Amino acid sequence: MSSRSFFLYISKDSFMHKLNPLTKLALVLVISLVPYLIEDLLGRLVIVLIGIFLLGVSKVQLGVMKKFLVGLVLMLNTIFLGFLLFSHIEGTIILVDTTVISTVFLLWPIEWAIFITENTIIHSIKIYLRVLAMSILTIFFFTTTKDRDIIYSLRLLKIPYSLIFVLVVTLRSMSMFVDDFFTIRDANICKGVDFNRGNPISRIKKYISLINPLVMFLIKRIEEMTFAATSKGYIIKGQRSYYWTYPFKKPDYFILVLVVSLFGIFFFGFLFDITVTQVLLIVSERVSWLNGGIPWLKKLS
Amino acid sequence: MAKWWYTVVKEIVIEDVWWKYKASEDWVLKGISLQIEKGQFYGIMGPSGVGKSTLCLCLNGIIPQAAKGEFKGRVKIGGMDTSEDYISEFIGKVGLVSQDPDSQFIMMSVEDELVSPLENLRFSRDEITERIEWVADLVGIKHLLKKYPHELSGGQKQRIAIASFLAMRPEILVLDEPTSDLDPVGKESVFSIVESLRKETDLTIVMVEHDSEKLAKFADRIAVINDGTIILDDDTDHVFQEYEKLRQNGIVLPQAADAYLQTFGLKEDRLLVEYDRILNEFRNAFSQGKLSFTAPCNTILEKSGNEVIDFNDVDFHYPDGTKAAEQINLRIHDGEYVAIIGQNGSGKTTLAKLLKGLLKPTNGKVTVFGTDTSKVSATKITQVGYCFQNPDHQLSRYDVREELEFGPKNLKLEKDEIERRVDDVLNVIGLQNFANEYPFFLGKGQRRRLAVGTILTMQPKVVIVDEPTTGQDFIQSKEIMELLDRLNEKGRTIIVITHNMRLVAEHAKRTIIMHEGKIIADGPTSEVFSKRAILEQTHLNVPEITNLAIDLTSCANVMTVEQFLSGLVQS
Repeated sequence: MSSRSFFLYISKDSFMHKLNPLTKLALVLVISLVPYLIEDLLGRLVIVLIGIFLLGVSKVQLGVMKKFLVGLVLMLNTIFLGFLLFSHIEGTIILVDTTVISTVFLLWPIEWAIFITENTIIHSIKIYLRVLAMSILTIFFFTTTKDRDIIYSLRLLKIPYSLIFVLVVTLRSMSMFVDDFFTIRDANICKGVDFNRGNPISRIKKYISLINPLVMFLIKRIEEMTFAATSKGYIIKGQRSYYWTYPFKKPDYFILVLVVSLFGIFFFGFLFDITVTQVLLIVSERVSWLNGGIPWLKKLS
Repeated sequence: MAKWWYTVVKEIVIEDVWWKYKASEDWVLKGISLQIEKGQFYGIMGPSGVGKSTLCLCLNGIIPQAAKGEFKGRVKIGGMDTSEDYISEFIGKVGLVSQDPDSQFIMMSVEDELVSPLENLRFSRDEITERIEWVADLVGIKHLLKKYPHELSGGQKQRIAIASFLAMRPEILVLDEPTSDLDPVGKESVFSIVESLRKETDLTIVMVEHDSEKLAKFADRIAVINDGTIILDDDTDHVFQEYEKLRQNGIVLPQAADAYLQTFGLKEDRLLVEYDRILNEFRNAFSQGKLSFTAPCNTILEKSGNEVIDFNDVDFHYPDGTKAAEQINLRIHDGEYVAIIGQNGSGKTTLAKLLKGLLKPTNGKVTVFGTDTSKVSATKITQVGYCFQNPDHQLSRYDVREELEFGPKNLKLEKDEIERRVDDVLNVIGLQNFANEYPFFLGKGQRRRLAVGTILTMQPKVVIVDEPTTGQDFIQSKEIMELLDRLNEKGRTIIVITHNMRLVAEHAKRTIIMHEGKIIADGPTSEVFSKRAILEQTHLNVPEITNLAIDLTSCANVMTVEQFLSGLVQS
């Protein structure tokens, strides 16, 4: 028996769950675009906070997706370290080191210069926040929207059905793939493979040995699903009828207006080069009890 | 409602069809010719891997239009040619249900699985609603409409698959071993749909099936295929009359028919296959005093071996709170042959995984050869070998020898010892000539034996085999069961998890019935089979021959046709 049906959907009785999937899609797409319009650190942090707020309102308990989140954090950390170690941005130097990391046939030494400046750190954090914001919004969308609603919203947007069908099969095979993976892993444990022992490289090697049967299963399942899909008319070209309807309700219009307004504000800032930090700085300077503003805001601006 | 099937299709005509898959040297189908009349129930039988499923794919144009390979001949469905007419013309006219209930579930919920194909055919919302209500009633799935695949049993998924095709109101329904992965309840539910379709509709049904008892009951005609050619094609009665030919092709007679044949011979040159008629014939012989019956002795379990497995008040709950095992108390002794039976989801596999240490008890204690399984990793419980239901899950290397060496290598054995064990096991599983073959290129029966072999090279004292005969023909099933019998004779403890009651009756000395995570019966197989109330509660059916003995004499001790015949006394 399969362990799950949905990709990430978590059933909750929340305001966000009840929204039209197209509204949620617009919300996620628009807010995901905003980090590309704003360059300052605080602006991106605001988008991350909006994402966290949306998750909070949707009552989704992230503990359910613990394993997925561990992978996400690993990915984010890798991106951060990658930008930190490989971006060479001029500025106040914090660390410089040149090391020979490898030689090829003892002839060509490969040198790697670590060059970290204050600006490199700020740039890496900005990238981190942008990816984090997009990840949070993606999690929000998939945890609050059923797979069927995702597919329907794409159909309503007139995305070609062949592309939508690829998504359908991918989502469905994902759950079967996960089940196959755990069964094959258990079968290997029965043959004496201890996945919890050894150094990271030997553990990775053990998991790599699972690829052969997994690929065989995947090929077989995709072939069977393709035949089943052919028999059920998924290959038919042209229009299809719509059984489910997704009417827009008042909350949908409210959210759409809010989203458009938010985008408008950030787009205005983008056009006239006004950052969130500058806005906060002006506000803080005019608030009498802050006594002339916040020093780190000045530094960030 | 008007019967939609009184429309176009007159028959299926298959004329001299040949098919060879791309990259394969051999033809899978070699000149198949069949004619199937409208409204017929056509059974297709034959050993595994001889082209039955391939033939099914020819009936809706997947072969030759979607699958890659070489095709010769002609298949006509209601006058349309599968080679010439667009494949989309056959969608909705021919429904094709395959063996694997998971792979044919395309969408993410039951409702969507029924709705989407109808949307593909551009039916209006009202038409879709009407068809779904109709099919949900017909197939008995109203209560499942709001469910998701992971909430369904294999039998329920197969019902949904059948329903999703029936909602398209096809003229032909092709069922390719639809019950091979199902428990007795699932199997019964599929056949009950077939039965109601037979009664209420004039749908043409083509069914590939290994169960001769079921086909004897339902099929109008049967075709037997072997090696890509038709061996027999006749009315059901006439086909079973060719019992010698059937045996040669790995098909067994229904047990009651076999018993009848060996007792009375042919009746008016015909072999009786219908259970009720056979029962009447025996009853008449008993009432006329021509026959009497001496029941075999009750089986007594020999528990002379040491206790090797001990479950003490064991519970197991999954993280989502599902109680998969509750209050399990079980002792298994060295050298026993135990069958664990029960419906899907009754806790059989959980019990086996607890035994191997793959799962750790939530409460209670599992002791295997004196070791508390909760305190060690499953890799350390080497005395227990566990073969998974699908042999392909167990194969991960690039040739048969490497596959067999894998376990002993993980045990860090000496090279000479590994070679010795691998050579021994190659002989035991009969794959000496395939040592360098890629495991996934072997036949299903061979892959199953190889999967058992990968465990045997680790020399476990207890061998657990989950569904050893699923999807296999009689000869393959017999080979694997004989292998387990030989291992048991050499002193190994065998635990078989199965839905195949005939197999349980013929091989297992002790049977355990699980229901909703609990053991509700445990004892000698004949004793367990006599507990009718429990069998009914768990929807388990005793083998046909046991049933015949019960119906005739109330004796539940008969496990095999041989036992039945030896109990008969001719006056």
